[in-house]
Amino acid sequence: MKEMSRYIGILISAVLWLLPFSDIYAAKGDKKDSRKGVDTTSFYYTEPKSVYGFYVDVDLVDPLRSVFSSNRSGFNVSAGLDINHTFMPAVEVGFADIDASEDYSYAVVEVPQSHVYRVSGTYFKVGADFNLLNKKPYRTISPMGYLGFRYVISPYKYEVKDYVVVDAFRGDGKRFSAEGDVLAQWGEVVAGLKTPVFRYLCVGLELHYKTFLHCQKKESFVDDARRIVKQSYAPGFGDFNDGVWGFRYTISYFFHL
Amino acid sequence: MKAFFRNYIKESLASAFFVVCFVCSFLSCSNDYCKEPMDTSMEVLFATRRDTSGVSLQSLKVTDRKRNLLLLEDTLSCSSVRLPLAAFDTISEFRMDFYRSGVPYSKVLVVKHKNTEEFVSAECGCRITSKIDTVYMNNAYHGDSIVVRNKFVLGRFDERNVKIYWNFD
Repeated sequence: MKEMSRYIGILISAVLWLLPFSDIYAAKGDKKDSRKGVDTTSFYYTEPKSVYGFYVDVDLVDPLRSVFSSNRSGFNVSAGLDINHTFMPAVEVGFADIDASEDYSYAVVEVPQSHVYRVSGTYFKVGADFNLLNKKPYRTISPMGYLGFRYVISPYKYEVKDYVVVDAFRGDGKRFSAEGDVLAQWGEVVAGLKTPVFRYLCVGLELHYKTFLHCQKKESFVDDARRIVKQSYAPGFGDFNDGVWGFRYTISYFFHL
Repeated sequence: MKAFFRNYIKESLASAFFVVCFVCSFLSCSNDYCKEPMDTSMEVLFATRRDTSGVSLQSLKVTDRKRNLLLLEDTLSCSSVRLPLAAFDTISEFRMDFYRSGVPYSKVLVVKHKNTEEFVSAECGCRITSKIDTVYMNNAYHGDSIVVRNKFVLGRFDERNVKIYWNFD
């Protein structure tokens, strides 16, 4: 899996290296922001306006992961409004189904082969991006290098099945199974690049730093015994231990208004 | 042309930065190991009224009294011990046999507690944590006393749940 990931990484890196040759740079007259020198016959020409259009992005990372790993599947789409090529309010929605039981490799006790820890659900993100690159008001679309933030909420289902609680000193044990719904919330700092490659078709890369994670603990009573289920995965976040950094590689389309 | 190359270099550097981050995120190691304490034993400290900081007991042997099961046998002297509370019972009884200044002692420590079954994480699995209700010795000498310093038995290092003040005099 790691080898495959490496090849995907190299492939995508190669595509990214080609970004500077993308369609937008080939257009004439895009060197200056002033009216002077603007090519009014360009496909990208427009009068300056406050709202230029909106992007619809589809993330390729989750579907690619689904192809190479049977333990997870998911998708992620987002939309962002281009205001002045500067400010971009964004919403994002995704779904993920993660079977995390394979990660059970350093357990203190032996567990049955049938054990399962699975999380499945949607996540919703709202936030905004700020473009740091040169703004070109006479262009319908502008390459973006941006910083942003997201607030994420994820209501999801979990299933814990056939784990074992043991009293190792006395040799007692019993199986532990539980399922239910929980809510996770967190914040993300986003840094990304997005550029047109052909007309309004764009590719982009986003890095996410996830922080301020809060996830409900589920408490119940079974046979008079208090029972707590802590979560270690959430859709959209991944593993709480090492899912702090995330990334999206997006194909998007810009709808010019 | 010059502007094109300036743009090209600027955007190349930005791309390179993101490519490096991207590849690093792919190649970074995952931490699939358990970081939570899974051994949730109760820590008991020993002291006397004269020496409240701690005293050592010799040849301590701890037995689960209900099951007559040897839990610990320590030929060296020790000033504290970690006792595993019963995971599926609310009362744990420990018989402690030890020597102090060559004199044999046998005490029974009774702990009433409530247990919580906890699914910690995919990597760790499940554990039992406890909350101590009551601690007493059912054959205490006059003057022996017990202090519950921390009623939550969560398996953290240096938890110091219970301190027993023996009356050896």
